[in-house]
Amino acid sequence: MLKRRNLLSAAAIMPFAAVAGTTAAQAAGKTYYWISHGGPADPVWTYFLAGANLWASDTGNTVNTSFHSGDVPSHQEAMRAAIAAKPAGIVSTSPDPGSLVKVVEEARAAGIPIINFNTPDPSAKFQAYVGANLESVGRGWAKFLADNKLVKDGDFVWMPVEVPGATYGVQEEAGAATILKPMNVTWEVTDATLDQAEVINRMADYLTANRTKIKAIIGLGDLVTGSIKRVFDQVGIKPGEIPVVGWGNSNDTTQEVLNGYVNAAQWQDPQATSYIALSLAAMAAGGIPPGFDIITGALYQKDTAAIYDKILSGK
Amino acid sequence: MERSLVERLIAKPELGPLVLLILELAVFASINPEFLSALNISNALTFTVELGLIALAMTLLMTSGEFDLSVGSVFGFSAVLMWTMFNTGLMPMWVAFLVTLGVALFIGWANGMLVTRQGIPSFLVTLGMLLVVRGTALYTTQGFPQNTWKADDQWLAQLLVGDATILGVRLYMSMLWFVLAALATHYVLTQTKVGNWIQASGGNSNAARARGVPVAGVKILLFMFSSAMAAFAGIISSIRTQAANPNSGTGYELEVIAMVVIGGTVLTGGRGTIIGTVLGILILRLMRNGIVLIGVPGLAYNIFIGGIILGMMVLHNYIERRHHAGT
Amino acid sequence: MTDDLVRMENINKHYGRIQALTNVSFSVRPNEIVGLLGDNGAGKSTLIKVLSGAVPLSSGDIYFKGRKVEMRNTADAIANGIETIYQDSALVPQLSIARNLFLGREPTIGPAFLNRMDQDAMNKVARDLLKQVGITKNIPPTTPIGSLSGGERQAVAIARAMHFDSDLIILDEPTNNLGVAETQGVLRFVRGARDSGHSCIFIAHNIHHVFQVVDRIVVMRRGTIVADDIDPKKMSIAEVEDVITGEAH
Repeated sequence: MLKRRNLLSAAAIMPFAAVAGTTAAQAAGKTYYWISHGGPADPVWTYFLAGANLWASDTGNTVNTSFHSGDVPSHQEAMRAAIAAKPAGIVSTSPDPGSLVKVVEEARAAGIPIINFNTPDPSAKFQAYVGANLESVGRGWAKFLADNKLVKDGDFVWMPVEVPGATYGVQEEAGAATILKPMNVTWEVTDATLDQAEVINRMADYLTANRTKIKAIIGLGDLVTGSIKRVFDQVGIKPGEIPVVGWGNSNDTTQEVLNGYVNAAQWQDPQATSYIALSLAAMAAGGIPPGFDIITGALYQKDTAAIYDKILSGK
Repeated sequence: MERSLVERLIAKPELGPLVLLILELAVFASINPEFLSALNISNALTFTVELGLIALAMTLLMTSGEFDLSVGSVFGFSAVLMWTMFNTGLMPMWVAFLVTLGVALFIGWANGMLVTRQGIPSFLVTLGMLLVVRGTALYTTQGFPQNTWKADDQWLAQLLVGDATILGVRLYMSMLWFVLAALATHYVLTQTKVGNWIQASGGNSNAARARGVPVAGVKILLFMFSSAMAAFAGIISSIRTQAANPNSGTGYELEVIAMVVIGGTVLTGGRGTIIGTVLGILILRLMRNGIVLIGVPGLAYNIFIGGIILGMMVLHNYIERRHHAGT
Repeated sequence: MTDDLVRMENINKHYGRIQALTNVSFSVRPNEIVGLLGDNGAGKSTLIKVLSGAVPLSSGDIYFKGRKVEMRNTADAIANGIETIYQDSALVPQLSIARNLFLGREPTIGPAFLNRMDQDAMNKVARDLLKQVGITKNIPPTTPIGSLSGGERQAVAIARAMHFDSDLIILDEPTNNLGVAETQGVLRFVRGARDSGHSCIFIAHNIHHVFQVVDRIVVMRRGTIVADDIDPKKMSIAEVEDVITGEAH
């Protein structure tokens, strides 16, 4: 009896000991906080994270990262905890439009450099923004479909999204609307969730029910766009049968573009976005206030997809 | 006088769910006949299998009076663990598979020990374990999903999830595994000594112990079975969806418990039905599929699913009370 | 002495610093119904729990049919032929009569690894037992036992003890929640059990019930035995009550 209990307690202590060990080793340079509204296993976020980790090792600074899977209060709490820790700087995405206004004020009041990346929120007083302009990204997608005659007046477009109501989807949809509305095109946004199996399941169901109606698909997020091939295969739709455009920050999507499942995909330069955001924060910490935003992103098609596929597989 | 066949049928707890399922099929099919098409049914059933395996084990566990909330975490963690060991070339896939099942059995054993020896309610123990396992999965992978592209030429992958298209319907090996598991758990619960012990442990554990039934041992075994099924399901899912994400499986535990309860197994333990669980699995999964097919607005899904679950529980209660009033 | 069915010698039991039983020596002869009486906290329940293996003793010995035995758990007690009937009958309400009867020692049929219960045999035995205990309603043995009345359930519990040929049946407050008619039924069965070769220890708060069936009364007070050999035919209820409370005659 006694032996078994000892073994169990030893096993319980081990993970804590391991964590204590690693954090001790990391105590070099200044500390920055990197806070994301994404899901920790969402493929695109792993590349953003990689950018942050590379910056940390290149500069010898410590970067504390956290993911909040769309949970706004959790995201706000993390930012407040970061402010209380008095770091050299904070870089953060925006989970919901307007959700970080107060928190950013607190950071500015505490004199902590705070940079916005990935999902913009102009209503909050971040010092600078690094990333794509989501409204123009959305508009670009709709324009791609219209210019290439993949969508015409009165058609129906399907827009699946992982987390309905979150900043990214909302702004992209607004941008697309500026092109689609005047064409009398209708669309529907559907909830896919952040769970890969559930995403495939829900998209397959919707596609089965509406395949004759859907004339084009705009994937508002990386996970949904990256699932297109598996969904098409499950439902029995051939690549190219329904045009698809959307986010393309994962190997899944670069492969889909190369194989004809997706017509064009948006590259957000996730590693670079993270890296530059942290650099801007460091610059601000050093006393040079950043006076401009940095816009990233490019829409790639079959001819250039291989480049991004290579970058993403370079892990 | 022995009751008539009809009376006996009405008394069975599975009648309610069966009626609900038939009603559901009828309603959906009448609004959109595509619902009953071969393609749709096979699509709807594919994912069903993975949750279903967990639900079968959860039925036995709940019959014995306990819950396992950690199944979703074990689901995601197991896929990641197996693929990590295989992708790093540490061992052949079938060995990685067995090692992963072993780890899952250990997690189940730990759950069981904490519940039976320490007397902590299973709700709390498995909630804690849910967090520990999920956190372990995320931390050790640093969030990177494991790629599963090398699966195609593995015999184990074929054995677990190989598919064939028969008469226009895509059938996966995993469906066969589910059917076998359902038959086995049904047999255990209704025909075996152990099955009697499981029901007794949940119905009146003091009485069971007084009669010499090893209640603690039975429960520990059921926790281990639950974790093993969650691991098995997670591995199957990772091969089929070609993704091993440490975040997979989040929230599955509640969906599984809902399936078990809708099927007629009592939340407080003592009575369980595998047939009911299979019906519950179909009811919930086909409902999710059906509301998409009948055109419920995409963002309103949850309203409908929640509403239908609540409605079903009320109907369930009504049928239960009517059937008890007679006895 | 040597032909005692059960002999407990110098039993001590303490829970932490609380001494529940102090040097208790207690025995039961074959074919005897012993009534165990005492006020709340006298130690009756503890003594019974030690004898039935539900609780380990701190010191002392137990002899069964002349042989020294170790009672580590309830399974040991059952294996030695000691059955306990509790207030709630140790029955599982959702299980059928047959399944309850055989709980813990279900007969199996077929290859061992299949673990298959022989439900036909169980149901047949159950049907016979139901007749034996006089349950005249035609209740199928597959009925959940929860749908029987309290008295009927107790009857089944006693029949279970008799069926498995336990030498000693311990009844711990079996009539507590029963009506008059049902109580009479239980008392009848207890007498029937003794007549067919089983011994019983009968614990009850209600002295009147005890007086109706027992051969000998043992009284406990504050963890010890204060009277060992009271003949209910020779002493009145009032006198026995005095012994229990410790007041002078």
